[in-house]
Amino acid sequence: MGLLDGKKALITGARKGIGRGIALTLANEGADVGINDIVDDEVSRRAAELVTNRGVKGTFHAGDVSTVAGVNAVIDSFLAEHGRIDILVNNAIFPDQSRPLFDTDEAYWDRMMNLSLKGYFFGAQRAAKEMIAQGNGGSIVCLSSVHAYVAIEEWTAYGTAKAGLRRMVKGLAIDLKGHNINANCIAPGAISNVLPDGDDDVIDGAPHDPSRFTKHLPAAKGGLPSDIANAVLYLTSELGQYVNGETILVDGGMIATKTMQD
Amino acid sequence: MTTQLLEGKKALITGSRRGIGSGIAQLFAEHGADVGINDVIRDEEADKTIAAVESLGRKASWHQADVGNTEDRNRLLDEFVSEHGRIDILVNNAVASRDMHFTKITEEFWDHLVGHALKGYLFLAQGAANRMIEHGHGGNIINISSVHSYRAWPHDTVYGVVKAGLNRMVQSMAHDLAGTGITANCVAPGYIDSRVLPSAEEASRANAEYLGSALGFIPSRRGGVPRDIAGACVFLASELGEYVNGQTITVDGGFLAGGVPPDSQPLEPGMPGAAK
Repeated sequence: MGLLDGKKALITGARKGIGRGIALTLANEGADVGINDIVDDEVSRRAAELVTNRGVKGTFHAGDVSTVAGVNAVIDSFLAEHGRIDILVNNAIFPDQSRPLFDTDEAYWDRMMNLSLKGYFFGAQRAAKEMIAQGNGGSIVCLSSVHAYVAIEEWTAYGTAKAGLRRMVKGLAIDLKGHNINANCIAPGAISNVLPDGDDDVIDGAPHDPSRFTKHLPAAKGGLPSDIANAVLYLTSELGQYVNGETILVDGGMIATKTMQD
Repeated sequence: MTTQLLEGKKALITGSRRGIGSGIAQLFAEHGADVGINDVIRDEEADKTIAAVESLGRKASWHQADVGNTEDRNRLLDEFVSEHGRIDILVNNAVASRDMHFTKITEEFWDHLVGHALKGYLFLAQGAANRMIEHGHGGNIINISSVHSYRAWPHDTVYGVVKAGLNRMVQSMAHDLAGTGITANCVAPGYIDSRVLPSAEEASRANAEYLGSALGFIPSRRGGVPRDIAGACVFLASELGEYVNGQTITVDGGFLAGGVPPDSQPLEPGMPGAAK
């Protein structure tokens, strides 16, 4: 018996890293999972296969979730396979996440905001519409970041988008009141995204050297995709259903102790 | 993973005779933990909580103690460890407050509430942390805070100050306990219906009548129940939340997200929960 038996979850940007970890964790708890990514390759298919190997339904939905048309196409494709949507995890982000202030041109800014704010917003709006029509509530989780709380050199555009998400889920909570939908953010700290070598049927890669972050970080280690995935599991399961409009930092104490840059 | 998220853990929950503390003890037991039940008095409610834990096949030890008293705190921790062998989880939950207008706050009341719910929590956390460090396997310390730590309600000054102090306390605990494997966090409940109700009236818990006009400002459109707070504690005390540290998690059904005080506007007709 799992914490999410029978739930239907769509995870954006889930080809690898944190998104893939979320997909496999929700699958471990009994959810059918749709993997979305802009990259359509063997790695994407393998992620969906790893979901299926857990005894639940795993599907892949290629698509760019930075436009409203793209978001709708991905959700349409998910609904065609799964029939309904109970959980949306907005996780997609491109690799080029930091940029010096004066190299941040309009094209980069637009790309960041279109994916991380506009895409997340319209994904949540569409998913909420479906959840209301289905009548059984649901959960929306957006991936924010420690960059929503503090400034680090060259992360202004990313941090601005991630801070916007913290406010966005409060608006979703308020506007979706009465529909049994909770909307929250997870704000990861420094998370290891190292892809496993050899056996790829694991959630976490090798953790980073703890000294890369700080000798003072309370957790004394970098975070892993499973740490973020487990927080998503909490918010989407019965355990966290009364948490709404909230952002949970999963950072090993980084922001509480301001040890980000030691 | 199974639903037994706390299998074999030893958890002490203060103020757990009834209400939220009892809810935490029971959900911890459902997830496989042995628990220590503490309160200032033992009564029928305490007996019910202990019986509920035992009916789940878990051990429940009873510890009568006042967390505002130094000797009681030390005895409480010693008793718990001698019963269970170690302490893995401490939930600081015990509190008894009352409303007092700012102009009427007495030194006696200040000393009482701060002594119990701030000083008492700190020294219990310190004692638990020292025992966890000695044991060498980390642990989890959870303070029950409140939405009153963020915003003011009428006549809640001392309570709000104490709760805000707890949010700040866990940040320092995260700092000073770095590398020990101990996490320190708060859970900040919103409107939780923690009344003692006859079982026949359990269905009325947190319902619209109980919440009145406040319901209109809770996006989740229901009052919270002890199990909601217990769920956050299970998250923080289990492997699910092991990388969460120095944090306060608000569990309020979205109440604070909108920032509208409950008594400033009536519930509009037609809104879910409004009188027909």
